[in-house]
Amino acid sequence: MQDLKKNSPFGIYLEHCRKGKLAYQVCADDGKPVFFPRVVAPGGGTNLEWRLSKGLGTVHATTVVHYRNEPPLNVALIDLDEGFRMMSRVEDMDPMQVRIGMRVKVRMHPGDEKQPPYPVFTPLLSEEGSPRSGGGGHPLLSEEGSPRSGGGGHPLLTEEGSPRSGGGGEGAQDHPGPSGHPSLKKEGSYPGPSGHPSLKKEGSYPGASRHPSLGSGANHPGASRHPSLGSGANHPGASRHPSLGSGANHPGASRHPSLGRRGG
Amino acid sequence: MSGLKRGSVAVVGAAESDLGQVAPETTPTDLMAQATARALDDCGLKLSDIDAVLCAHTQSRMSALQLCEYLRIKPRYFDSTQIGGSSFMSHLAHAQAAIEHGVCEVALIAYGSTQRSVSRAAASPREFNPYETPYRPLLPASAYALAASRHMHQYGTTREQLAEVAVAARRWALMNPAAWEKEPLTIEQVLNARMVSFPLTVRDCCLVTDGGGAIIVTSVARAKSLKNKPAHVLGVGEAISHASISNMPDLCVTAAAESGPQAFRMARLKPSDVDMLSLYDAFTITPILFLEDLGFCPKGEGGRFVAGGAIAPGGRLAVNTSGGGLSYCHPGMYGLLVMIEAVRQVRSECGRRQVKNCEIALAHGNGGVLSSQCTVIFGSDATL
Repeated sequence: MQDLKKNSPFGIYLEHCRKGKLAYQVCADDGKPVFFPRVVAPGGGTNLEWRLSKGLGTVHATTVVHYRNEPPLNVALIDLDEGFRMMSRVEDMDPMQVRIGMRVKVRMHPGDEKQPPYPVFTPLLSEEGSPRSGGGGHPLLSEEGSPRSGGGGHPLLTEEGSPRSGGGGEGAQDHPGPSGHPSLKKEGSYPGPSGHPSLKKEGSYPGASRHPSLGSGANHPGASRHPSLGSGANHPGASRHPSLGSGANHPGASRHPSLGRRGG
Repeated sequence: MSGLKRGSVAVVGAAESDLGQVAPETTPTDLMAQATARALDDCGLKLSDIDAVLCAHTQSRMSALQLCEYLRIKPRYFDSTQIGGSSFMSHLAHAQAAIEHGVCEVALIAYGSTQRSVSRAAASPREFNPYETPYRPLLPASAYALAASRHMHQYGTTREQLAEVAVAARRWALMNPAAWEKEPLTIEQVLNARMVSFPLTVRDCCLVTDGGGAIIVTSVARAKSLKNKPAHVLGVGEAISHASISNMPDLCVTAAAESGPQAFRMARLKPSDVDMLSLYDAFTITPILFLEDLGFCPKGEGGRFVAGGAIAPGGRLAVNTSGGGLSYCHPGMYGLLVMIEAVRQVRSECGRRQVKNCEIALAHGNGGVLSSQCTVIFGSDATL
């Protein structure tokens, strides 16, 4: 077990962040990933091993915080492919356009004197230059072709097409950043999940309430009503994809295994 | 909680402190003491009858010491379980266990907060979490917004359906003279209000008010000797599932799915027996989740359930008849006021907003970021 007089779980995690790596743990007793880092695993195991994540994940939940006098800020929960979940932020895109199910890749947000480095995420661009989600490609990027970068190839991929490790090392300086990518300037023109055939339409979040032409203004009087919904607040079918039926038997409706038997 | 006996205790006194905005330098303990005096008056007991004190708030760590010092009482049993807004339902379950066991006889459960007067930041400082704080979520709102985003994605719940919860609460509040909000509210107004953490606008979020309350709980035998109709405690249940939203096992299923069945099993009742629901409405998403998890509609159907005024006056199900945390009062930790409305409904004291023939009222408390869930089912004499 970790000697807490030598080092703390967060201290070790931070050392990895400083080297550009997202670290997590695995409990050797049951093989389950563990995050946040700790000295005793959920369930009581004390044989915790540190691992480095490949940094690839999927947006599980997302919100946009409106602090007064600040631009809107994305806060998301990311499910890493290794099987753990963490809070983070998706950058390099309009915070309102972050979608549940979107594939993302980690990079280290650089530290300063007040705040050590911490992992953030950016949309994962495929080898073809389109951001990946549950289905096909991004409609805007596919028109543009591959994204530009400061140097030669795609900043996130080596020439062989395999992802570079980490995000806070040399790769980070090559990445063009949010202002460099031509498609990322088009705030408000992203068609939203209801318009794009490749994106799962299980719900309308956040598309049904946001018409793409209205931009990001939260207080625009018409901002929250998609034109196709008409004026009725109670239109029952407005945000339900026809293929979903009544939703009562949605696989997500079943009980999370960790909650045990109902009433137990 | 298992091993407790249906109807072994009852709430005999219930009272709010002054609510909304109190005078400068009023302390949380002033509010707890005021509510205590009113609750004692309500049931005809004296301060010297109280032998247990259960309380918790956010403005000091040792609230029980402060309240007992203020009133100069020395309880045999005390408890300051602090699990957020649901703490008081947990206090009731713990008081029941202590009373059943003979450790005490008359328990005072109290709360007070001056968060509006001193500012929320001063009343409830955010704790630092190195894995969340750097990302600057606006807690607790952003945690509930993340859950709402998932519910919208998985089940097609809409912002309009969330707004229905706020509009229904406002319609009930307009029938409650003690409610903070006095003006009608429309769905459009909720949607167009200042955005806090998408999809939640300020009208999707509970009020930030001062306030407090107190209830007096005693054995059913002692309750029968007092002047008020008791609100019998038929069932209790409590469950905790996580502390931080990143660690919630399933953003669309709360531990109300455990606390509710515990309470229903103890009460030997089912959801269709309930005449009135008092559901902790910290944010518009929470009644939707609790209606599902407590068994009033299938998982995923909560948004559709509340549409069209279903939980508003004249609707299908009476929910939050006080006007709720969204429109009546929300002093930081709100669970005690959630229970007081349920008690009043069972005692037929709600005037214009009284639910006809209200024999069974369910009070459900939520704490933290959907972290703790505690359910209490109250019943009239006829249900014993």
